[in-house]
Amino acid sequence: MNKNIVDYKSVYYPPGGILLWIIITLELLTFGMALIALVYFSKEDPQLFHSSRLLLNTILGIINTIVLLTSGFFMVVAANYFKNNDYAKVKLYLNLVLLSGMLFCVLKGFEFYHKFSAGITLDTNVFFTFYWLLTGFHYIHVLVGLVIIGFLLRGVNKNNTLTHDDFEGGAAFWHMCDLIWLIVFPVIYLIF
Amino acid sequence: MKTTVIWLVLISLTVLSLLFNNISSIRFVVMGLFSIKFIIVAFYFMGIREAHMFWKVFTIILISIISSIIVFI
Repeated sequence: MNKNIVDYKSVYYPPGGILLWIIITLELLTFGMALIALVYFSKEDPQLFHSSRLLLNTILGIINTIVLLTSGFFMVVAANYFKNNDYAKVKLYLNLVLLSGMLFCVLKGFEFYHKFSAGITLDTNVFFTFYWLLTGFHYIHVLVGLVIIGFLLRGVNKNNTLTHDDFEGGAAFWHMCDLIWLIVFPVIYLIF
Repeated sequence: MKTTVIWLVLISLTVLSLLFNNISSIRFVVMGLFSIKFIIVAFYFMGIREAHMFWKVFTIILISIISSIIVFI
């Protein structure tokens, strides 16, 4: 492993790197503004938003939240083992991150399929336009995150060519998927 | 060990939020719970607690602004 000495106390070096944190900030602002727009539109027809929200499977949403948070937990454990150069454990926990990420995608895919089969599409109403766009966009982020985790695993397997920065960058992107879900889930699944 | 405790707290807060399902009038409680989870993930999972003060304050302000607008709009 190439060891880098990073001073996290410097404003220019947050964990994961400042460029990734600029991306994280922009992503959160984008999702945040879309969610604010969703709440704003709900004022025009609160009953429509309430009845639409009741068509969603909240329990499945809660399970998906738990799955994502658990994958984040596995990622933290993998990062700790990476710092201690215990690569067997790093591989184990990265595989667990991959599995839990895939489980999220399967459960969400099941939900998307169920909604689509019931004729609920982007055109159904304003609530479901936002539902498809926000959860779909988040889904794409998780898929990209899985690809990044795959590259981290490949790096660890190939004589560990990863640097500390590589690993932290990948981990930060994965946690960003958690952060986005933590603002998307309550607004779409709970508050209306 | 500490990470496991934090993960359990996050799971507990998630399950707790289920209690407020169908009670849209207490929107601020739901957003409050998820804002706390957001801050815990950022600080303990992403390591912001070790970062410069700017990033700590920035993270808290960012989620506070988004949640507040959603609650009070």
